Amino acid sequence: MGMNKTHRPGRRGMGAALKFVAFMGIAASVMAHVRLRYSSTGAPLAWENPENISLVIQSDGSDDIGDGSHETAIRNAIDAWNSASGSRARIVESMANRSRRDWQTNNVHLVVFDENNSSGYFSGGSSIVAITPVTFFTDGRIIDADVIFNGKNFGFSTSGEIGKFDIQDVAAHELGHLLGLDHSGVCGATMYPYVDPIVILHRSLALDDQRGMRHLYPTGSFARISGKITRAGSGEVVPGAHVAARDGDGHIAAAILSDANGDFVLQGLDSGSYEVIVDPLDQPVSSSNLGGGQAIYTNFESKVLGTIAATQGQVAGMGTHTVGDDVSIQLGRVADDYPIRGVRGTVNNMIVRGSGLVAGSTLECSDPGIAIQNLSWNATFVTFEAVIPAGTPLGHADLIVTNPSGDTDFLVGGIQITPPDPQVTGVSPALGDAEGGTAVTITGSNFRSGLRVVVGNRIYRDGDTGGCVVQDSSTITLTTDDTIAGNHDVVVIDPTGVEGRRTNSFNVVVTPELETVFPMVGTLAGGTTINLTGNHFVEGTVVTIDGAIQANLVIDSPTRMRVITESGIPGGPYVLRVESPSGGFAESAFTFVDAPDPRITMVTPDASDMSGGQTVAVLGSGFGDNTRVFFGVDPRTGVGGSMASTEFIDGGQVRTVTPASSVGTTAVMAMDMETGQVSTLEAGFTYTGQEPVDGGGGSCAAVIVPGPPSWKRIIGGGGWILLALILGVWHSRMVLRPAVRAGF
Amino acid sequence: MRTLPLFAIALGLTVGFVLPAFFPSLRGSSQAGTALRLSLEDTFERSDVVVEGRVHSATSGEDAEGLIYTDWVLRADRSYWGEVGETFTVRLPGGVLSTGKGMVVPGMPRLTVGEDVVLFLGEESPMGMRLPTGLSQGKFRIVTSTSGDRTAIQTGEHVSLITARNTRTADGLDMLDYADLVARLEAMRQDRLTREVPPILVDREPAGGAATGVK
Repeated sequence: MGMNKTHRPGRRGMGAALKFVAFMGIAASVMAHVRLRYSSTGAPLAWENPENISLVIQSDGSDDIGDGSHETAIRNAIDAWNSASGSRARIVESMANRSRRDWQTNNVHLVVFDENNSSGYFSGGSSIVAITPVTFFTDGRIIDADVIFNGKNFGFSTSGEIGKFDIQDVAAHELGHLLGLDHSGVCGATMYPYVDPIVILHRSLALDDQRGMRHLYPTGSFARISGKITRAGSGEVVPGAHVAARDGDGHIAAAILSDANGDFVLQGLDSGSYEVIVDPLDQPVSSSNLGGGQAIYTNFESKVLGTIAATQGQVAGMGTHTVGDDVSIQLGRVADDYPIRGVRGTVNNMIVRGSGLVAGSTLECSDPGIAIQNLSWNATFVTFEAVIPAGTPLGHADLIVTNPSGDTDFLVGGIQITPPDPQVTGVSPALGDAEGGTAVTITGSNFRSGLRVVVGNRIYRDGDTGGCVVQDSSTITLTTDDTIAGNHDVVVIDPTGVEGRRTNSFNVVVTPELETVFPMVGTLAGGTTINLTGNHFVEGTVVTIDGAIQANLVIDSPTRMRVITESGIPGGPYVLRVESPSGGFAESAFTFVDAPDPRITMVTPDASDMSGGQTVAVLGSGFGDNTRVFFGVDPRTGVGGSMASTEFIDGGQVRTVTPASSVGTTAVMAMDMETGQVSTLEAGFTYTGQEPVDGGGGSCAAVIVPGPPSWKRIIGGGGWILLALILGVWHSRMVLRPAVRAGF
Repeated sequence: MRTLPLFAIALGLTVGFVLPAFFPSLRGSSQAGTALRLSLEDTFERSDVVVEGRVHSATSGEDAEGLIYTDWVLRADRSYWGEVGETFTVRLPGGVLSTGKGMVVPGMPRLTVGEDVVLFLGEESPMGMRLPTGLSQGKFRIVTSTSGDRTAIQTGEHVSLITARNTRTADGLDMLDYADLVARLEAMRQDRLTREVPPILVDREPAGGAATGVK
């Protein structure tokens, strides 16, 4: 981007500016971290009952994710905030209302992927990747917040695909807003305003983010450090100064902005000794990244204010510190990706942009154990190597630049020290059942306690009940929970957010379950419609009879499908196998007979009174002496209904007398009682009449007193059909549960 | 220490530098809200309307679905893209109702009645909203010093940084000479005119009726 001459008004301009600021009169109390505020009053926003903030992951998910891993990523992001020590805030996933998309409604808090701009936030070529509208009352109570991903204009990923945004990284940031945090001036914080597709380090919270949670929702009283920033000479207070505390390792422990009076209170600290610094909130984070409610001054020098001990439950006062004028050197630019990752035990090549980065300057890291070497100064950027010893504590350290004139600037939290990526070299076994229960061993390196393992839609956290166990730095064990089917990556995510992945390394197979096969007998000519009920019927399922693929297969739902048989060889029972794409299968039986199936084409008349006794003709083909007619059976399973007295007329007709029934349309089934072959006519007969009515409620309906049951009713029970099935296929061996589970 | 194989280095360089050089979308940096990190040129190109004016009034309301918005009426001084009349009403999400209920969208720039602004706005949504392009990147506040010089500052209404910036010069994202900004926008407009016809925009009535209040 081209550079532009920067306006530099004189002293009169500066004075006018300061008067303008005074006129604005924003007296917001700016405390630890940066909180969302109601800009008119400066009231900070927070949940009134943070212990149970319900959140619903909308069930449609993302068009980019087919394996449900977006839910896992979002749950990991939730977990990151819920794990912040010293915070009462808990985001609790609700499994209710998952189909709702009405994020505007205050009674549901959603994470939703908007694929077609239904939210109205992503019109045209929108540059917004995700957004979190927060609804509040003016007293500061948050009453609703929803995270909306722009699936219309951007791609999302859970596996590091180039050019796509990492769902967990973006979700972690947006959930920070949901909880009441604004952007942070610490480059390595999750609430740092900028993220990139290639950066995943915001998945894990920085101490600054965690201190923000301690400030908003503390579980107790933590150590604090207070002070005041004024300008040298004039004594004017400095609002909006970015003040940060470095711990004994030189890592950023907390940061705040000074308030309108120049006062600051670093919140949520552990007991210890801290070096406190002040830095203008200019590049790479600036006031444009913050919401309203506070004045931000940036025209002063960066400076170390001093070192102070802080004690649990107490405020350590630093008094007033002065800062001088702005200086001619600056480190950090919006265009850079922060934090810069420094891997423990390695030499890291780094580049940082800025201004006034001239030869003769010095560059240090606030962590004294990290050596900076091989510097090359280029005015607007500096390249260098950061040597990070293996034992360096994890966290965020500053870069400190000083020019030959002694002017200095800080890049606050610019380097994140991480361990090396976990390496996943083996997953054993490579196959598991969707119902879970598989003991899995993951081998590799750089495994650390507190890590998470992700398999499909499941997260296993080290140390949790039902989670995983880090046996040592090269071994993780876990037992799978019920998991979405598919060939999944096994992902090991370090607590810092860096990950190792072994792609397609664990195949979760679905084992179909068969509950009913109806009918279990059909003609050798084929064309018999078999209805199968059960569970886990998925696209790609294959049905075979005696090894022959039955090509005419329709899957109506995960619990129901239909097969129209191919021609077969008389005999049986043959094995009827239902096999899922992932290899799991269940078996039952089917018999081919050398006789045509009965076939009902018409019932005439097709309606009569519910009391029964109506003689009707059943027309069709394939009828015989052994044909019996049933009314009211379940056409999918053959269960239920009543057998009617049946008179054989010829192969194309039987005559029957309707049994009594309730009002409504019902199925009619013809069964050959010898072979078990059936034909069912759905909605084949309608019973009319008036059902007995409850006379309560002041209505005028007649009260019908039931009489003794008729003989037709007595013999019309479903037991007949059961008996027929037993007689017809007595030799069949019906296997209702899977015989063998693939892969074990 | 584990050494990187040459292949990995080459792949890393390709993915990190070469591809983004040819396919800018792969750079994909973003600013939370979260929005893409945009140059001024990108911001202009992605905008449906680029208008300069003074914020005249604001009225907040709530639509049938419960979305709280504010209609900001601008007295338009000039338009760099999209033909607008003397007044132009921009509906932004967020605001506060007279009931005390409000909504804020982190990353969204906030306008203030009386301020002079250049707004870069996206296409109008079915709900009538036009979001600033790149959220906070889609607003420049114009500030005039007592010497008469004007500066464009890319920031919220709470800005205090209108003093001289010694040598910590912003790299063009935070603060621009107003004349520079106008000149660059004019050049971008002329360039874009060779490729597109700007939309003609009819001002809409700001919100009125029930549940309104002035921010």
